[in-house]
Parts: sequence; structure tokens; C-alpha cells
Amino acid sequence: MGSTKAKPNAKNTMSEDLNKNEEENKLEGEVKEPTQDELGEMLRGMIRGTIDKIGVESEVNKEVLKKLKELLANTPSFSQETFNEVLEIEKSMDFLTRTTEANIEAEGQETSIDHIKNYNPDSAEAKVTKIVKAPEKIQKRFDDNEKIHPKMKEAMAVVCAGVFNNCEYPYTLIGSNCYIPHTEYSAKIPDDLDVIFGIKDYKNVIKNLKKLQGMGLVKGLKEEDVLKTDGTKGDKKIHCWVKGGPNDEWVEMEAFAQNMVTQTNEGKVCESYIPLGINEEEIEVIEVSVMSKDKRGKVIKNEKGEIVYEKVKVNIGSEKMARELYLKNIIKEFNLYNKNGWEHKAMLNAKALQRIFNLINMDSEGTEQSINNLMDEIARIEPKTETIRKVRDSLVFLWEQFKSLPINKQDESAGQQKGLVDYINEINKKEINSNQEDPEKKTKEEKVLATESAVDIITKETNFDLDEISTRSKKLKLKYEGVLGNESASKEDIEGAIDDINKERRLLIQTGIKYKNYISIADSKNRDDFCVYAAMPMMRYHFILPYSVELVANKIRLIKKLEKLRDM
Amino acid sequence: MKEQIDNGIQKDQTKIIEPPFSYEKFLEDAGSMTKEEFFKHFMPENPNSEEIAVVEWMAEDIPFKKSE
Repeated sequence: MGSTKAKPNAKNTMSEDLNKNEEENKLEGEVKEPTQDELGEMLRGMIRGTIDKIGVESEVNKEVLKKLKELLANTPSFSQETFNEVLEIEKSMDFLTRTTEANIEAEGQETSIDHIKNYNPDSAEAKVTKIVKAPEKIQKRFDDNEKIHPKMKEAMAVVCAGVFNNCEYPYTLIGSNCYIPHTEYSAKIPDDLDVIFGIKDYKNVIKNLKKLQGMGLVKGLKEEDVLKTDGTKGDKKIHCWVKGGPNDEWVEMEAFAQNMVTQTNEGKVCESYIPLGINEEEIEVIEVSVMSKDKRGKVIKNEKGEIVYEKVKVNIGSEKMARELYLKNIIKEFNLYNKNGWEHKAMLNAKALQRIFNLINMDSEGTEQSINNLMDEIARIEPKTETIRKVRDSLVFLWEQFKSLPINKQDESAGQQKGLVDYINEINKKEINSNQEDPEKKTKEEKVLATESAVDIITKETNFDLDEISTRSKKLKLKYEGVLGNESASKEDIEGAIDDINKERRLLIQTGIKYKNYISIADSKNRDDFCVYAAMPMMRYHFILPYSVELVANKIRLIKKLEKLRDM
Repeated sequence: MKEQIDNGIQKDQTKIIEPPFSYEKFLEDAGSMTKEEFFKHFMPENPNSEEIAVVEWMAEDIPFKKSE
């Protein structure tokens, strides 16, 4: 057996172990035959080593793995037949590796990535777009899997290498993959990909995505029109899922093709929040390190059976771009309330709380000035419209209301900074822990994580309560309006409707108690509380107050109807 | 475990809820009742101190008809 030669690239095979064993024995001057038990254990070690080298990248490998596991389970002692069988499997692996290497040679540049290789730097679109290497700290945040999940990096590499790095005009990742890397502390990670690119690249982007779909790296590819607020067709949108790893891990992607300067010069409109290729924008290039794959999507291994990694360059929006995006999103949240006569009473939608928090949590922001900066930035947004003015006024109104709230004196005297953020986390049993060793950094991170958590909780909670009130009020309205409009409504019908209003009154009072309590806890000295507090006035002014008045007005009408019936 | 977020660029997973109450109707209804009437019909029977406080809190910003 010791004469059996293992293949050069099969690491730690049993034959190598046996040769090594013989050599060691010779060196030590001893010649000792291994026992059957030792040989059996070596064979099992050989099988385990082979299993470790395989992975589960393909259906073929899954079958091989299954076979090896069976062999491992059924090899209590050494068996020549099993040994030969495992050697055969190793040989087939060697064949697969060599085939892959041959493919790489034959395919030449097919598997190497040249960053935006068809990019036209002389285009009018490129001239307004500054593409720079990402600062070291941003690159580090990508390298650190804490901020960007490996499956997200895989998906980014797949679409950027296979699609967007072939664009002729600027493209960039926006959204959470742009925001999260520009924050020092956040407990969140991006879960989808959002890309913007030039409309002139649309056909090529689709062609390349279809190619990736053929390789099994993209699925569910759909082309859609983005609907504008007036209901007409806007920019082109692509929706699909991108493979982010070997175990069927898929990442959702939305890519928006937008008009750039060539089109706007022709009188077309850019619907996107980010005027990429129109105004001066900055893109940062980061490198993601991912597993190399051949044309069929199989992970490439070197002759030692080790996975080969490659670096793929990816464009992400700068911090400035992330700020611009969230500022415009805030405006969108306000804009939604220009309905039902509430136009001049614009308040924040629950989702806007997260936008505000995102903006004041970015790298360049200090906590103290961040909210004032936010209002100033909103005022500077171009083009200056009536909506933007209203949004700024509404934010100022909210901020002034917040500042007029009392300071939480009880906690202050106890030397604590407790306010609404801490209260929300406490009642929801959220524990905030930072791994930072530096006490100052630890305090800072815990403060950010606590606010982020409270904002998430209150966003969901207010959204739930708004939905509840909205649904219940519509249902109840149908009932009492039916009774009020029915001339032959009986005494029982009317009393039933009054009872329903009284029951609803109880529920609304309970909601009121909750939000009144939250407002009483908000500490105007603790600016983090503002992000959470900002949802409360909307709940009070737009939902609780009008609903209470509506209930009472209709109860009075029903009572009058009942009295009239009694008089008859 | 890190939490995953939606980025809300042009896709919001959070449902947008518009106020189902018209502002004009709110002013009209509020103007049709006095504060006392509101209290009488909105306050539950045998209210506790918390319920009284919250109804008062709600009434603070409602533009009622002036009491005669």
C-alpha cells in the first residue's frame, strides 16, 4: 500500500499519510506496521479530507458527497475496495479542477474583470460624474462582513462584473448599500440591491442580465415601467433576484434606467431622486473580494483544491449622494399627506422617522447640530418648490414643539439620560450592547444603536396603529351612516350603532393614553428622542383628534334620531 | 444577528396610510359641538383619572364651538 502513489494535488490523502508515516518511522529507526484499527482510522480521515475539499457547488458534487458520507458511515475498519473507491473519487475531482483551469485559459479574459471597461469618459454624462476610489474606512467596512453580508457582496460582484461594469455611462449602487457603509455605527445590514444607470445602457444591461439568467446566476428577471405620481409611465425598472452564494441564497435587485444629460437636453425628464449623469455627482469605487467562478457558475479552485478569490470593483454612491437620497425621501413622506384637505398640515409619515435617523447618523454628522443641518439642507434642495418649503416648515414646527417639551428632570437628577428612546427599548425588552472596548466609543455606539432600535419599534407601532384606526373607522362609518341614512331604522338599530361608537371610543382612548404617555416621557434635552417623537404629532393631529370628533358628531346625530323616534 | 432593512428608494415595505378623515369635515364637526358636549359624549362611564386626563389632552387642540 505504501507504494500507491497519490495524485500530486490530492492533499492529505491516505497514501501520502502512509508514505509520511513510513518516512517518519525510518527516521526514528523503527519499522512499525500500522494496526488494522489505525489503517481504518486513516481511511476515514482520507474520506473526511475529501469531503472537506468538495463543497456543495454543483449537483454532481452533491452526489459525490452523498457517496463519500455513505462510505464514511460504512467503514468501521480498513477496506482495500473502499480505499480504491475513494481514490477514484479524488481522481474525478482532479479532472474537474483541470477542466476548470483549461476553461480559464481558453476563456482568457472571460473570468477577469475590467472595471467599467466600455465606459466612455468623454461623454457629457461622464464629465459631470466624479468617480473616485472609496476612502479607506469605507473599503474597510466592505471588507468587514459585519456591515455587508458575504451573500450581498457575492450578488454585487455577479451583477457588477457581469452587467454594470460593462456600461458605457455612469452607474451606481444606491440605497442601503450606499448608506450603511457611510455610517460608523448601525445594527443593520442591507438586504437588497438598488442600482441606477443610464437609459442608453438599457439594452445591454438586459442582454447581460439574460446571459446571467442563462448561467443560473439571476432569476425572475422582469422589465417594468416606474409609475409617476400622476399615474403615467416613467423610467424603466428592472426587477430580479441575484445569486448570492452556493446554497440558494438570492438577493433582490431593482435597477432603474434613467434619463441622463443627453436626454434632458432633448427635453426629457429625469424622474430619479439622484440626477446621475446630469448634475455633478460623486461615485466611490470599492472592491469586493469574492469567489471566482467559471462560465457555468462553478467555483474555481486552484491545484491545491483551494478556492480562488478575485476582486470585483463596484460603484457606490458617496455619502453626499446618500444624504440627497434620504432628504428627498423625507419630502416624499410629507408629500403623501397633501390629500383630504390636510395640505397645509403636513406631518411625517412613520417611515420618515427612519430617514431622519439615517441622515443624522451619517459619518460627517455630529449629534448636536445634525437636526438643524437637516432642516437647512432641506431648504437648499433644488429645485425649490412649494412642497419643499412646506416640508421644511413642518420639520421646523415639529422641532419647535419638541424643544418646548419639558426636560426629564427626574432622570436628570439621578444622573441618567433616560428619555423616550430608552423607555421604548425598555418596554420592548431590547438590550443594546456594544462590543467597543473604548468606553467613549462604547457609549456612542450604544446611543446610536438604542435610537436606531427605538425608531424601528415606533415606526412599526405607529404604522400598525394608523392602519388599525384607518380600517376600524371606515368599517364603523359604513355602519352608522347606514343607520343615519335609513329612515325606517329601528330603535335597536340606532342603539346598536351608539353602542358600537361607545366601544370604539374606549379603544381610541387607550391609543390616546399610550401616545400621551410617550410624549410625556420624551426628553427635549435628549435630541435622539426627536426621531421617535416626530411620529407622535401626526398620530394625534391627523388620526386621534379627527376620529374622536367624528365619533362624537355621529353619536349626537344618532341620539337625535333616537329622540325623534321616541317622540313619534 | 444583524437586522436586515429595506432601503425604501422607490419601494416601501412599510404600508403608507393616509388619514381617512377630511380636514374640512374635522373643522365642521368640531365647530358643531361645544367642549362640554365632547366631554359628555366621549368620556366613558365611570372614567378613571388616566381616561379623564387623556380626553382633556385630546380636547386641548380641537377647535370647538364656543360655549354659549
